[in-house]
Amino acid sequence: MKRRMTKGVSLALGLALFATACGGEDGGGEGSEGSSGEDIVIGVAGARVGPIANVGEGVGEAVNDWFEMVNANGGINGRKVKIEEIETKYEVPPALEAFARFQQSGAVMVAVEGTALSDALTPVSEQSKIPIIFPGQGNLDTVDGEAFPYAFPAGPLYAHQATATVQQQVDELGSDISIGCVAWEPPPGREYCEGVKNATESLGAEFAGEVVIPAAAADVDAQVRGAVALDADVVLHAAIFGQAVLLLKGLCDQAADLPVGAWHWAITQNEINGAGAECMEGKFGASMSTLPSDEPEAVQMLRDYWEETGSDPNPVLEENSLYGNGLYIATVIEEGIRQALEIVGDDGEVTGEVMKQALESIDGYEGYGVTCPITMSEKDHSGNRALNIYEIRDGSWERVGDCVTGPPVTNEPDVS
Amino acid sequence: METGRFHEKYAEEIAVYGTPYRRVWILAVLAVTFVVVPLVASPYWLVVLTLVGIAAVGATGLNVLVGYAGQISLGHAAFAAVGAYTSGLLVSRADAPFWVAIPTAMVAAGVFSLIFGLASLRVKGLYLAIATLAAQYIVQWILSSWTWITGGFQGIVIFEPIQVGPLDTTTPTGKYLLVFIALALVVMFVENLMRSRSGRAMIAVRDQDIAAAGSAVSPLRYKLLAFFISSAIAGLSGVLYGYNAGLVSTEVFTLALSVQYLAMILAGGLGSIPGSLLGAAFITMLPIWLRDLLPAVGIELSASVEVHLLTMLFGVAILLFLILEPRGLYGLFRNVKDYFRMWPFSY
Repeated sequence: MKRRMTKGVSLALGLALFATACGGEDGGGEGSEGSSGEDIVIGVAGARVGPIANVGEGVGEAVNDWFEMVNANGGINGRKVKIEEIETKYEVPPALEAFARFQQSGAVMVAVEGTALSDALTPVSEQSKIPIIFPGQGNLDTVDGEAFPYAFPAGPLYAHQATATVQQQVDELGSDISIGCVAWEPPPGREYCEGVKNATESLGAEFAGEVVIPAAAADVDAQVRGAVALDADVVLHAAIFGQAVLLLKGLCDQAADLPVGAWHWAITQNEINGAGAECMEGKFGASMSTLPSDEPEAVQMLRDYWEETGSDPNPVLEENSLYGNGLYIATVIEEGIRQALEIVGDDGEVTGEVMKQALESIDGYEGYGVTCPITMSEKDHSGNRALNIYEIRDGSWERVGDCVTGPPVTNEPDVS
Repeated sequence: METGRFHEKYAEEIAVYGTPYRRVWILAVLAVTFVVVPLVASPYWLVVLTLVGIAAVGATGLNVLVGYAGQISLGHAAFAAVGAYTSGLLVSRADAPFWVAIPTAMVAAGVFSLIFGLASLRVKGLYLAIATLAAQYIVQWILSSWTWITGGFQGIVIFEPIQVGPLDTTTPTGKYLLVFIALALVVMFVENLMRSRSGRAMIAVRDQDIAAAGSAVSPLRYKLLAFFISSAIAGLSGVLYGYNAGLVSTEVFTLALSVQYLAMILAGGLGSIPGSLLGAAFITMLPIWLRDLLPAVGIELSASVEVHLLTMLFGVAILLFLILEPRGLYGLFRNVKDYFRMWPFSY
């Protein structure tokens, strides 16, 4: 009797489960909607805590500052923009939760900080039809808009940073040089050095080799010795924050005259303060954004706004490329929204699908002087592959190359 | 009034349904989990519960090793990675069906862990923790360096969705059901394992391995068995992660995840299945509750200040919890339950 009852209950439960699976609300594939005339919600999957905290802080502050100013000036064509930032600690499960929360809040686009997160959110962005944007980070494959329709790098990826920097070195020193690379162990760092290797081969220079810094290394002395041992004419590095400072100090001690260049997360005041102005003199790097120290129009607009409202300038602005890259992201978001409103009208309903269409219609946009011209299409989501090259002269970053583009990256999808 | 529970037969001691109420409770939990929640919960809450479910699978697996067998591991994220990549690569490159790929992935994770399980025969405690830490570094190095396996530095492996009849992992409901079916099977398996000779042998090895060896219980066999089972379940959590996110990459299965699994079983309660589930829910959802709490009580802070305050509150909450109730959430639950069960003569 007991066994029959258990079987009966199990069967009923099984049938109910089947019914649930058939009839449950899935919520996926609907796309998100910013209703007519209402604020347009943009999600920011932040990373102010964790391994890329400096990036998260710089980008997060710039995006928030920018849209505070935009809203204070009446919004975009009269529509206010609500920035909803949720911290992820650069971990994937919180990023998935944050994305679901953005979807619930009606976000029409999500800005993502960090390659691990942009990778992880690519499938859910497609399922929910909400575009994600992650300039300056991410996976090279995502430039292909047909393969990844809701993922928008919208800026040069790590390999592009490497090829542009190598191009600039070859232009300056000739192709009879050898270039070595120091990589941060996680994928972005390795992809950067792979880009250096590709570009040196394409341009007829010699690739001297690669040295890897473990992700959480507190000491990089072995890597400094390894980099010196490469006996290269130029060393490029993809280290970040404390590790970058240690590397630069070490190279200054052991090979003071060695030209050293960096990727765009290491063109900060932190490097100058940490390694010392004397050590840093002549060091160079590539940046997808115009550095705030160049005072592009976007920074002047923010300064004017702060002055009008009696606020102090955000101190994170001094961190140069970190804040500058945040302004890059903010201005691309603004342009995306502007294009979306052109499609649906100023009071029209903006959805994730409209935002995708809007981003794909951006053409030659220069982001108030912050970006090299950005153009995207249904096929090509890269935005641009151009970088500004900076060098430290008299203790501060000075632009020595405008929107430099390197040779094509070998394994990049063909989006022509 | 109930004055106590007295078992007269060994069968009663190991019965799954210790009291008649327990059968009702279990059926009620299953009904709520598989019928009520999918029908009632919003897509957002389905996503959150799915994350809790994946964490609960991993934490239950680790509890087999740490809680029941007394062996520590800091490498469970690595074993999850082995499971995730094995399954993902079998499906994407060998066109294996998911019902072949998932068990194979679990076996692969279990077998891989045996290499590190062997260390448990010679070292204990912190030394074993460091030995298992090696698994973490080795797997991370393989994933970022052996690009012929992972297809590039990002190591991205796409998980094709499971679409079998109504079970569709492109939807929050489908993901939720997949994860909770897997969790239910894991809980059932571990519950029964602990009622078996093998489960009791693991506990004997945990409590006193020399005495266990003297009682014809082989520490070698049962430590390795615990490593295998625990890591196979961790491998399953990696697979579930892949189906939930739609892909895996090299930066997912970090040391931080291994530490989180440990935090879950400590906060939930070592050596108890409900403790694993409660711990997974606690560690996954506490940051969300804290984040929602501040605006709810009228505290509006800038993003920069809020994020650091919340991180600090999260740490303080865990610290206070471990000080005030070292037996974990399940210990707390049992205290409350016993209080009311014995009421008004509880003490």
